[in-house]
Order: sequence, then structure tokens, then C-alpha cells
Amino acid sequence: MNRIRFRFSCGKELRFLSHLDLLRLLQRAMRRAGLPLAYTHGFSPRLKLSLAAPLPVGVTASKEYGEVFLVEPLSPASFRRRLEGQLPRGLLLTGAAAVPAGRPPLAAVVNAALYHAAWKSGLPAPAAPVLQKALDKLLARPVIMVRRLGKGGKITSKDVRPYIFSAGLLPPGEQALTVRLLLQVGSKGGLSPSRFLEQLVPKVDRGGVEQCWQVHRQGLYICKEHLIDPFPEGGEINDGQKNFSEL
Amino acid sequence: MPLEKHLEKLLPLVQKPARYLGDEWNAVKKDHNAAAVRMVLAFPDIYEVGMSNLGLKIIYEIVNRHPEMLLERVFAPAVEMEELMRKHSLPLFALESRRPVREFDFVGFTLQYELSYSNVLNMLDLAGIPLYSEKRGDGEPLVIGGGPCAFNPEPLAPFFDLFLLGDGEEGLPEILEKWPALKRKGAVRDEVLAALAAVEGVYVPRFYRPRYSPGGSFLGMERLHPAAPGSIRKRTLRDLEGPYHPLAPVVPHVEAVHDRGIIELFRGCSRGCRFCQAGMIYRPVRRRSPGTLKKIAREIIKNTGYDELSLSSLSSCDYPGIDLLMSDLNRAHESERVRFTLPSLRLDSFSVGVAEQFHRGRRGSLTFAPEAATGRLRRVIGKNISEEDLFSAVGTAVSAGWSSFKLYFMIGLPTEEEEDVVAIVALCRKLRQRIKDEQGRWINLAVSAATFVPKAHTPFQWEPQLPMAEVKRRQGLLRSAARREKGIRLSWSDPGSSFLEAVFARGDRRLAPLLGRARQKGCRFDGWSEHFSLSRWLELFAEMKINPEEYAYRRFAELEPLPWDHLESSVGKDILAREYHRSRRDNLSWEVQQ
Repeated sequence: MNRIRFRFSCGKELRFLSHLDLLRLLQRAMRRAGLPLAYTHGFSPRLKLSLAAPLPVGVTASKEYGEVFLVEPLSPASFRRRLEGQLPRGLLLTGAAAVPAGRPPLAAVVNAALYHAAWKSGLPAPAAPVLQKALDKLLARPVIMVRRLGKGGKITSKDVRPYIFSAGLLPPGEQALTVRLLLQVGSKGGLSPSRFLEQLVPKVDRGGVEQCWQVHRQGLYICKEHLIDPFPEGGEINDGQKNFSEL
Repeated sequence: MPLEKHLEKLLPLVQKPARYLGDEWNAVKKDHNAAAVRMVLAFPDIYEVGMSNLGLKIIYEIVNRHPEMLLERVFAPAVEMEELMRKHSLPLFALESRRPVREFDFVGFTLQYELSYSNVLNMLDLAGIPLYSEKRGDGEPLVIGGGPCAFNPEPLAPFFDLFLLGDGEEGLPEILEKWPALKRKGAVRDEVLAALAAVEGVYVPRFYRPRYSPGGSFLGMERLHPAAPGSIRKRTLRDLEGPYHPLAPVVPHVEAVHDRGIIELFRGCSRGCRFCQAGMIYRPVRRRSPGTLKKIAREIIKNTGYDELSLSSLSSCDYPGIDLLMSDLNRAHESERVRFTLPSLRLDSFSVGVAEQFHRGRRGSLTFAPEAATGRLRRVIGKNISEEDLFSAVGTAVSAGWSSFKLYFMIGLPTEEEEDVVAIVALCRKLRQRIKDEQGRWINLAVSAATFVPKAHTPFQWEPQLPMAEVKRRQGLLRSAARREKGIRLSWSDPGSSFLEAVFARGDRRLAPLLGRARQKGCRFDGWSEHFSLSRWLELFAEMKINPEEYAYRRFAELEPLPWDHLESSVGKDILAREYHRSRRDNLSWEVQQ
């Protein structure tokens, strides 16, 4: 089985698509591209395609990752060439690489997402020191309980403090007031940037967060002792495990 | 552009903002300055519903193929989006260009069923277009309508500049073609409409005035303009082999209700079910050849990436050689993992071959429509299938691997008695037992009981609808009969919305002011149970001093003129009357094959 990891960016044209919308869009683009796609068995065969972590609705992204299985070997270069012509405006393929056999699924190793949340222009922004103070106060809390709607409409409370790796203000520059957030994603639990921002500037009504902040996902990482990029620009794919050559 | 900026601010606040983007794969974006005629096709329901509609796909592609014509889409915004748009004075805009709908030359509504009328008016209002045709100036769009409801559009007549009856593939481009010259000439609205009235299939309601007796009976239409024909014949495409079928339909961002490709096998239906409007107005049957269909399938798959294609028509199993066609398609697209499905199945032409071909892509349940549970009632309505047909079709499907079925029935059909209603459950029980005896398996049945609505241009157009209270009582009978029944899940339609549907289905022009008032009162999405309010409509009827029962519950006299007599479908009133009589003689129905 041939496995290809690809990297793409998601522009503002597509930021309102849900995770499932984006998956469907990619599936159809790959089918149009005539790639030798592998399918699951059974009555309703599904394409073996996965994304590293769902992109929250309303968020743009520079470095998203996906993996797809093919039934025939195909060079990453021709994979790119064939798929590129079938992608809509806003979705840019920036890399593809073959994944050696035996590597864990991408979604199982990626556990951190780096976001930049920029205060939208045209809205009165809080002063940087005020925001810094709010950040410090929030991060100093040992427990941050967040209410969420669980299955069956039940409201549950969860401590999300462990899901915040780091958060801070970017040095004031030419760009707008920007918060840098490193949050956990994945099967072991996670926190969306909007839920974090809600906690930061309280008393904003529903949709208020989306109205005030433009969130961009800078990248997805494997967070161990340090951040590992699963497929860096100009580099090789990396799972945060020892390379086979080292074994 | 201010609208664009405004929209960007609102989109994060609504559910499924991707409904309003208009940036999907295969969306056509043309230069407004280069187009000689610009039209927006308005679908009076939300994006997911409209994007499932075959007619919209056909019109979109046909018009946009003309280099000098431009056609964009707009759907009814969901309620929360509408509220925000009104709050921020954002007008209804076309998806592709995000230009206000009122800036287009034509706004075309597809009229699929009566309960969307309130949405039509609400969309006009949101667009900032005067509701009444008479109030619109020369700079404002021409509002046109098509689809099944155009065959009795009288309740909507004063809001529309024209209706196109029948197939739109050729008729609509003919209308649009005339526009540039008329515009250059600076023709005023009446001149424009007079010129367009010459196009076959075009009905310009303002050129006709209904006359009523002092007692309020409809007496007929008076022609007011020399350009208006005495009666309007529907457009009929001679054959479908030409380049009419959409090949690169827009692939929706948000999952559509029917999120798949559609191939139209044939148009029209040769069966003669007496309640069925589609079966009457889409005649004659015109088929596409297997070769053409295979080519269309190939193109759609290549251009969209869909993994499911529905072989659609009013009765797809009646396509000669349907099993061969399906097996050819399955074979040709096996490696691409494309499923081919059939929307609804005819009990008497569902064969082993179809079952086997269908099996490969099976998903969920199969749908059959016996419509009535007793042979007597089925003969009355012209649905000539036997109990044996049902047993053998379901048996065939069960041996091919299915275990769940949807069965459609109707309540309130002409001559229906209590025993016909209770027989629905008895029939289902018998069917389950029979399959169990023959194949050793219990099957699951989802039974849907809709309420009969008499429709214009059908043999039952004279029939009264069963009063709401009685519909409720019979639904109750059905429910209690099904209560302790295993393996049968029952659903039924809201009698109130079926009542409203019946009022408008046989309505006349006097209902128009009521629709205008309903718009003001906030009626919209009447086809959605969470938005429909019968009491609000009943208040409106009282306020406007209109008795809705006159339209829904009255048996129309055969000799009385009908508000749609000047609109000709493919079946004449004399033939409809003959069938109306035959239904009472318990005769076998007709079959009109060509």
C-alpha cells in the first residue's frame, strides 16, 4: 500500500467550511484527479483519506496535513501535479511525500496546533497591557472549567487547563494585536481557539469571539520535549519517532 | 464593495455560512459588464434543498452555455441569516457575484410546490423588489416563474411578470434572447411583456383578468391585450437527446439533501395515476438512449468526483432495459467506486435484474409506493398493482439482500373508507409474515401516510380534500392499528399543511392579496414543520374574509370554469374528465404509451 502525506494551506475563501465539508471537497478533488485511490472494503467503500486535525470553522491555515492511501505507487511530484488542477480557489497544495510503511497514522501523532488570533481592524481593541494581564490571570488558574454541549444535548464541564501548552502576546509590531496560542488537539482531548478566547475576554455574546478575532492556524505539530513539524517545508516527513535508519 | 464587506462580518455569526459563499466547484462566474442579459435563478428554499434539484442544474448549465447570457443562483436564506440581513439592511444577493438580486434583468423562481409561495414573496421582499408586478418600474427586474406550480400559478399571478409553462431548456433561452434588443429600444414594461408573450409557453398574467359572478364563482379569463393568446400551450422538448443534460453541475460545499449526481433517464411517465400531477404535466414520455446516458454519466463523474449517481425519472424502473443499463454503468465505473441508485421503484417493474445491479451499491432502504392498501382503492386512483406485485417485489429485494423498506401510502383518497386506512397495517403485517415464511427473515417497514391533495390538471382536480378533522381521525385509526405492530414504523404528514397546500393548489387570483399579507405577517418556510403555523394562516383567511374551505373541501363542478383552464398541459380537460368518471366505475386505469 502506498501512502502519501500532503501539506496544504486553507485561505479565507474556504474558512467557513466544516471539517466534513473539507474532507468531502478533498475526496471529490482526488476522484476528479483520477488518482489511484485505495478504498475501504465493505458495502459502502470509503476513500482512505484522513486529515491531521479538524480545522475549526472560520479559521484559515498555512500548514495543514493529510494522508491518503493509493493502490499503485505514484511519485509525490505527479500526485501534486494531478491534484493541483482539481483544487478550488483558496486551497493550495504545498507539498507531498511518500510515507514509509509502518509509520503511525498522522492523526495519532499530531497533538498540538499553533494559532495566531489577531484583533480585527475597525474594532476598538483592548490595550495590550490589559490583554496581557488577562492572559496572565487566565494561565495562572490551576483549573479552567469550560462548559460544553456533549452527546444527547447534555451540558458537561471539563477542565481545559491541561490543553493549553502556551499562550502569549506577540510583540507589538505593524500588525494588529495578536495572541499566539499553542493548544492541544487530537483524540486525547483538545481546546478550540474560540473557546480559549471566550475565556480571555469575557462577556462577549454568542459569535462575539468570531466577530472580534480573526484566527489563523500557523501549523500542526507533534509536541514532545520540543515541537516537531510532521512534514516541514523543504524537509522530510517526521513522526517524532526515531528514523528507521537509526534503528 | 460594501455588501461584500458587510457579508464577511455576518457570516461568522450564522450556521453553515458556506451556504452563502457561491464559490463551489463548477460555479460559473461571468463578467456582468460583458453579459447582454443577466438572470438570477431563485430557489425558494434553503441551499441544501435547492442544490438537490435537477431543474436548477439544467437551467444553470443551459443558460450559462450561451456566451452572452449570465445566470447566477440564490436560495432562501435560513431564518437566522434572514434576521441578520434585515437587521443590517443587507439585500438578497446572488451567490456568484454577490450583487443584489434587484440589479439583475430577470429573477426566475422555480415553483416546486405550493408551500414555498410564502418564501417566494419573502425573497422578493428581502431583495427590495416591489412584490406586485404593477408596482415595478422599467429599471427593475422581470420576475418570472416556472416548474410544476406554473400550471396553476393564479395565487401568485399579480406578483409575476410572466410564467413559462413546461420544459425550460429551449423556452427560457428564447425569452432571454429577446431582452437585449428590447432594452436597446427602451421598450416599456408592457411592450417587453407583449413581445415575450409571443414565445410559446409564456403566460403573462397581467394580460388576463378573471371574471367572477356576483355570487363569487369564477367565470373565466378575459383577455386584455391583443398580444395575449387565448390559451397557453406548455413548452415540450421534442426529444432529450440534444445537448440539454447538465454535465458539470455545481458541487455543493455544504452537504445537500441529495448529495449526488443526477442523470435523467426520461421525462414524463406513461402510467396514469389519477392523483399524480407530475404524471400528467410532463407528458409525453421522452427517453434518452443508453449510449447518451453512459456518456452523460462519464462526464458527470469526471467533472464532479461524485461517488453516487441517481438514475432519476418519475418511474425509473419503467426504462426499457434498466437492468442492462445499470449493469453497464456498474461495470464501466467499478474501479472508480461509483454507486448507481434509483430514487423510487415501481412495484410491478422491479425485477431480479434491477435488484442485483442495485445491490452492489445498496445503502439504507428501498422505497416503494403502493399508495393505497386495498385493491379497490388502488383501482380508483389508477395505481394498477396487485398485492402479489408488492409481495414479489419485496421478496425479490429481500433475496438480493435488503431488509428495510419504505412504503408510501396516502390518506384521504377519493372514496376512501375506514377499512382502507386500517388495511394499510394489515397489508404490512401480511407482507412481513409472507417474507418471514418464504425467506425466514423479518423485514423492517417505514410506512409513510401522506394526505391526499387534489391538484390542477389531474383527473382528481375536481375532488374535495378530506376535511382536516377527518384526516386526523383516520390518522388516529392508523396509529392505533399500528401501535403494537412489530417492525412497522409509521409517519404521517401534518394535516394543516396539506390543507394549505390544497387551498393554493386549486386557488385563484383572489388568494394573492392574502399571500401578500402573509408575507407581512412573517409567514415563510411553510413546508418546514418548525416554521409552519396553521393558526396564523387561519387568522389571515379570517382577516381577508376568504373561506379556505371553498378551495380545499369543495367538489368542483365539472361544467364550472377552472382558474387554470387557459393553461394547457399535455392532457386535455375532456380526458381528465373521462378518467374522473372511470375512477368511479372501478375500472382499470389507462395507459398512454407513445
